[in-house]
Amino acid sequence: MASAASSTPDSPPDQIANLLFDLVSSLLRGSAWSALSSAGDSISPESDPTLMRVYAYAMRILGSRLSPTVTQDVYHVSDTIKKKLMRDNMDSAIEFANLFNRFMKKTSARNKWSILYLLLSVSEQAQFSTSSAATLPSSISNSFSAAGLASLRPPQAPRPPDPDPPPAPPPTTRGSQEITADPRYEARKRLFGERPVYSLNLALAETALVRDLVYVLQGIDGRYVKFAPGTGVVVVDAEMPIPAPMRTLAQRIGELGVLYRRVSIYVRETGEAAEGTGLATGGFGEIRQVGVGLVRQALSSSLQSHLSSYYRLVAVLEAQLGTPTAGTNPGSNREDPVTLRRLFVWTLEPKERVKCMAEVVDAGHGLHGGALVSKINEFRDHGDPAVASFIEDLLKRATYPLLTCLHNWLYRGELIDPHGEFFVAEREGKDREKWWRKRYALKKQMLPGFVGEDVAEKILVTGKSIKFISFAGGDAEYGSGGRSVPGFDEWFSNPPLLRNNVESAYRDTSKRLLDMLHERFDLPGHFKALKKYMLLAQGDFVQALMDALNHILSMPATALRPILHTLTGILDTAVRSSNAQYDGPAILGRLDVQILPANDLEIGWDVFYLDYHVDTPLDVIFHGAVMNEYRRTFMFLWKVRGVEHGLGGAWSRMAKEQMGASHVRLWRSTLNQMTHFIHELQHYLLFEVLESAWAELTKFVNKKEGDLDELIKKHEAYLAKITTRAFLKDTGAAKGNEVVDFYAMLQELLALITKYLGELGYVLTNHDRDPDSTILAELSLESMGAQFTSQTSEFTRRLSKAGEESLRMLAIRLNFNDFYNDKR
Amino acid sequence: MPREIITLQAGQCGNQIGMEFWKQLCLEHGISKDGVLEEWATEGGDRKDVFFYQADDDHYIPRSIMIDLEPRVINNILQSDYANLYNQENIFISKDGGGAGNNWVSGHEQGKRIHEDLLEMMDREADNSDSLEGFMLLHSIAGGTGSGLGSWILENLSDRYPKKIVQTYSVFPNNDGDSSDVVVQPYNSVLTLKRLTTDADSVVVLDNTALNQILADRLHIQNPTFAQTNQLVSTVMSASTSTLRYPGYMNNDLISMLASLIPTPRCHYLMTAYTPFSGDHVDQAKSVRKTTVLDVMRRLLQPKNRMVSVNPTKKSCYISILNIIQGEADPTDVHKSLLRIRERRLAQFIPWGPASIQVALSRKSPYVTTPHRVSGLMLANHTSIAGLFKRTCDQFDRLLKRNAFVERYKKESELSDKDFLEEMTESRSVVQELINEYEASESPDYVTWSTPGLSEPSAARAGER
Repeated sequence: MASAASSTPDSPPDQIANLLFDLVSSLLRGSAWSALSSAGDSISPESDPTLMRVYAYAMRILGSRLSPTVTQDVYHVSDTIKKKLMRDNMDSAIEFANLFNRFMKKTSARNKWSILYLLLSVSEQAQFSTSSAATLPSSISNSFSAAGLASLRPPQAPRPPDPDPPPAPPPTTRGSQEITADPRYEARKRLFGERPVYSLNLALAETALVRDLVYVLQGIDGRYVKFAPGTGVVVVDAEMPIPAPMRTLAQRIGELGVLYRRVSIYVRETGEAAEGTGLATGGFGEIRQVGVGLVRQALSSSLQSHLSSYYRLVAVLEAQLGTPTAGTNPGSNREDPVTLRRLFVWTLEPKERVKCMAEVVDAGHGLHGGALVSKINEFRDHGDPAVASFIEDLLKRATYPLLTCLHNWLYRGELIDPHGEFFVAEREGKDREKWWRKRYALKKQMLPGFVGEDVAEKILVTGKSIKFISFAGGDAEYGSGGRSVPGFDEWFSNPPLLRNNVESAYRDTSKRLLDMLHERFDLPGHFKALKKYMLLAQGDFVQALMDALNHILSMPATALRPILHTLTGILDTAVRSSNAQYDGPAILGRLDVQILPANDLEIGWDVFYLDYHVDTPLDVIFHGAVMNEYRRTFMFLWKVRGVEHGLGGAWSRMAKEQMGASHVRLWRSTLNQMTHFIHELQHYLLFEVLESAWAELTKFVNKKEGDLDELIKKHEAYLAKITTRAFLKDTGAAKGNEVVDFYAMLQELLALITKYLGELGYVLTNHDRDPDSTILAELSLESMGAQFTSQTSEFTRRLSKAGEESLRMLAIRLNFNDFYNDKR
Repeated sequence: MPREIITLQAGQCGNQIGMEFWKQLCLEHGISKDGVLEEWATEGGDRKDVFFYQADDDHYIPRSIMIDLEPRVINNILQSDYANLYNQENIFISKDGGGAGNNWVSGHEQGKRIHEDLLEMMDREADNSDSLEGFMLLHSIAGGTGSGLGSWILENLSDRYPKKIVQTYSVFPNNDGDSSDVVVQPYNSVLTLKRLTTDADSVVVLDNTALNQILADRLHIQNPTFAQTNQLVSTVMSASTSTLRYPGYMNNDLISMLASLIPTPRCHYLMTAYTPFSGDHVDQAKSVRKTTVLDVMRRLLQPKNRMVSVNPTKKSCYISILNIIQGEADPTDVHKSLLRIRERRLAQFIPWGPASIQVALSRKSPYVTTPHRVSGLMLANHTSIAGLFKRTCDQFDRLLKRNAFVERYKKESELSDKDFLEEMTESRSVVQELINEYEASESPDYVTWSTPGLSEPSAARAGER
């Protein structure tokens, strides 16, 4: 039939329409059925609804693009007819066989197959007055579902006749305008009301369009419909004589092709790049560059599997376009022709999916690993549950490699991530001391959306801890899977589970690490030792050291280096003569005396310090910066202690001193001020600075809570508190209106005391021998005493206005009996 | 260099306190009655070598010299469980065993006679230490041996060891009305006070009147025995030496403690207060109170806990305070307590220089359990202590006016009558100067204060050196 139509492409469409009309009406008139209504002959045949219905049907058949792929085999058709007749009536079948033989011998009939096929079709049409247009889309959509073709209704199954065929698409006004203004046609148009009437041209164009579109759906340019490069749309050939709505419709359907193409290109590129990776295995670094990453591969594979459903749809469509099911089964029904409109409807749902995929692909463009997952994850919050669950499915597969990586890291401390997809990244670096802080870092852009930053931090610490346990603690067992660990299958679908697993892995590992540091590496012992030696808490040791070093440190700093071994000897003696001796060699072996590079102006006090050596793994906590803080604090405390020592000596000397009463009393009074000052300063340092910070630290350390990171931070905070309160750090100089350099003031006061003690010593030594020689020195003692009073008063006044409470407390201590009020 | 301290126990009272003191130290350091370190005594972190040294067989031996002119008390010690603790070479009992008969002059003169024996013991002990910090004399100032012999020891110590600290724990006699034990105790006291003022660096005053008061009022013991009183004393002594025995950030030696307590050398009499007393110290005590740092510090300032019976005037003030807090004290509580005490003006301080309550947190022995979380000792330099001296001087004046008992003293003395009377007068004036200085130190212009015609007390002696 189609070939018949195509064999007369040049016939004017109206001619065919007229012919057909005549044919139909004559056929109907000839029948008995039509005789019933013959009374109405006088009226126009157009008023006969039956006639018009049949005519319209005929037009549809002609207008459709049926059967280009049906085998045009005469014998096949005749067999079909024969079988059909045999079922109804054996005689008619025999008769048909005879007739067929005679017909075949006729040479006048050219399109024998067409004729027979027509007859067959007509007879079938009589049996099944309608076909169900709706069944096709549903079957297609079924085939497109995850279950695949299995759910496709078997073609043999008898279909219930659809009593209510879907109405043809409403015509558009523009479409009607193109139809020629033949009066009969106009009349028909009136009669048909809203039903569209296609010209033959239109019908052919639609057929061609649909066929092209199926190509387009496979990502291939059709004859009339082509992809517009770079624009993401398809263009329908402008020459195509179709109304604009159809064009639009075609373009809409074509979008699916465009979407498909985007997805398939992505998938193909992934595959190619992955193969490229395989080739480039020569260099490790190269993989990182070339590699598309496991996540992208997983995503591609997931996309691919969804596409295969899409391919099935296309295959079904293609089948629909091809041979109608003029199959051997007499009961089977030939599907309705595939119209543009139908194609549109059928591809609607698949389009949604492919669109999702395309959007995912577009969004993920240039991304890989965690970032890719994170991007896809953004689509997860979709209002449409279907889309949401579709994305979730995609994501689940794409996440798999990432979760494998996470699992390895979380439970084995292994970072197997050749493509840099994981959110924990390793950095190169040989610095062992900075290993913990610098070696691994979070790559926030690689965080998959379903892992929060807080969880990620814990994941980072956990893996790091396992690694640390094995390489620093020599406990490789822990990470090597000796313990039972949960799997990661559920992690994606069950974020709370992931969170819980991370939490417990974090807890277990941190505890293991802290236990290791506490028990095997005696961490609390080192904290204590640092406090005892670097922060002078071991009073008897400090005293012994001070007694022995006091005079040496007054020498020029440059003289100290040559006698460093003497200083070391003094350290040993101080250890042996104090309770320090009861600390084991593990502690004492770390003690050492050190001297800063000196210049000519400095004296021993400026350069001497005690040092405490810490090695791995504890240098993670006691790293360079921290030890520097300890040293700085030591030097300050040591200096204060030195001044106290000097004052104690002066007090002893003055206690036995019997010189003339009045100025001795004045000196004693000044000494008393200084002693009071230095004692209160030290009490302040002890209670408000050292002990209160220590109490916080030990409380935390003894609880063994948190992780190593937290421990490091707490310890740093401990030192920061000490250095801040001990004036060794700028405290909010920018905060207050009055910028007070307490440290400088304090140093001045200490220097003044030292100077005073020197002068006093001179006077005491020389006064009795030669009273005149000390007059000047005595005068300067007097003025220095006054200076000390006024400076301390000023220091106290400013402290009392300081922002920090601890500083105000020092002011209260120094001025407890209000002595320094108005003494400036 | 453990900053050793040698303890000298003179006379009946001195040896009795001494015995309690060593008992207490042994308990706190986990040393057995035989001087052997107990097996469980491993976690001390304490410094035993300040007060003990180790013999060749590792026995701990007290750095202690026991001197008496009559054998009774020391023999009691030698018959007690602690007999083997002491170094027998360091025990001196006068051969005639007649004692000093409550006579300062007798004790002092006998000191001269046994001079060589005593110095030999002291020198031996001093040489036995690496860096001797000083001496601690335990004695009473009222009797004969503790006051007289004790005075002789003080004179010789400052002469022989001028650079060493000399601290005394001096028991002052019961002055309750006229019911004092010894009639002549004002003479003995004033003569001793002169030496305490000129030859000691620090005197911890243990006033029997106040101790009995505390036992009666606070612990409900109406007729306390010597042992009970001495337990109080040993508690004070152990607490006041705890920072020396348990090294910490501060106050690890006598000098650092005394330098802030004693700004002017003559005013070196320290009064003490202790809280809370409990059953450990005296069996009959029942009350266990809430103890926080603030509670303890507040109670230490209350007169009823002071171990010196004086009535402060309105002008009386603290020259200095050092509170030694033992036990589980939170360092941050110290801060709060100081603020509160300052707010409430619970303590009055000198006007002429900076002064405050210094607080030392000291460890408590892990081997001694007490029902209190926190306990505290106050060492305070308070001007009201002059009242105690005044009272003694008044009694001294009354006796001397009547020339009572003077013959007894003259008889023992090698000095001429005139010289002896001069000695009595000079001692009296030294104590008067002390009283004057304490009173002067209550005024703002103390720094420029001077008593015309009075040179520094021992200038003459210093010149001799």
